[in-house]
Amino acid sequence: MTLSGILPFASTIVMLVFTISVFRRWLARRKAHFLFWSIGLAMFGAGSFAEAYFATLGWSPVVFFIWYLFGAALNAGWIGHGSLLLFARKRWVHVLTALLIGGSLFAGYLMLSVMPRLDASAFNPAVSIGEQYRTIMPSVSDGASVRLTTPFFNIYGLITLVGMAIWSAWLFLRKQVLPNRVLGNILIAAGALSIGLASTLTRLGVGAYLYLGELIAALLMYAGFVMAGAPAPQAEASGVTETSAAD
Amino acid sequence: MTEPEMVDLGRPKQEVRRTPLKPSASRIESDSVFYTRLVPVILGALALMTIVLIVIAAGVLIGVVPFR
Repeated sequence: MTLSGILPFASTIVMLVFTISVFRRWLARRKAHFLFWSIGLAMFGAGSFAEAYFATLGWSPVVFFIWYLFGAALNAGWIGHGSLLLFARKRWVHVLTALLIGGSLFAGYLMLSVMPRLDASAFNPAVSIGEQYRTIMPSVSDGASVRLTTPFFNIYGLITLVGMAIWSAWLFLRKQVLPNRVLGNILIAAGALSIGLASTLTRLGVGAYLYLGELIAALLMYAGFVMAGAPAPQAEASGVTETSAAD
Repeated sequence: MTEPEMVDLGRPKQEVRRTPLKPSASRIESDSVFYTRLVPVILGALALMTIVLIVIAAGVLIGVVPFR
């Protein structure tokens, strides 16, 4: 197995463990942010698995559908929305939830509609899928409107996931409590930025760091979640515990 | 029933025993260089990177940033 197969496969394993861990918390506490996080993390893991599949087993249209819709388009938005739900429980957040679900279904419909027009002959197993998907998918002007939706989900996910993690870390730092949550949220933000940076570089033509960026993101975010979610030794900071990204 | 407590006004009040504030794992030391200097710089750098990535993504979206 080559490095381009090993890295996404390792990311898949980390994301699987991470997703199960978050989902178990949702089962125990029934808080919506855990559910959105676990769905987003499962999407991230599915995208990584698809990359490992392409690198080792070759082309598959179903795997491409999974990779683009869940791995490239939706996962950041869903993870970030989970972070937003942790902070804001107002009515406008329910509107955003409806928009996210409706937008995701619409993106799924647009992806399905472009599937018959994929050019499978352009697939090269030696090149990462992130670097070559533009030659496989038609352009936006040729009908691949789903590609227009991707930046919206990713910008929303970046603002909410990284923004909330930085804000959360800042709140704990300002109150001088729970250092584990300060560091945990910094790791979560750094992990999300790592994949954001690697994706941006890929879209600008430098795709060599995409799989490495994904693995670093998976490891940092999981480490951050574990660290931030560790029980506090004393309940001294009960006033701010609601603002942790891993509460 | 318990006997009513006799109060001796001449005796000094029993002092409430206060334990000194110990450094706890749930508190950040105010003199910690790591938390007072380094962590704010890291947070600022992360925020700056986020803004740069958002600007690039927005630039790609409106066609200002070249996109391969």
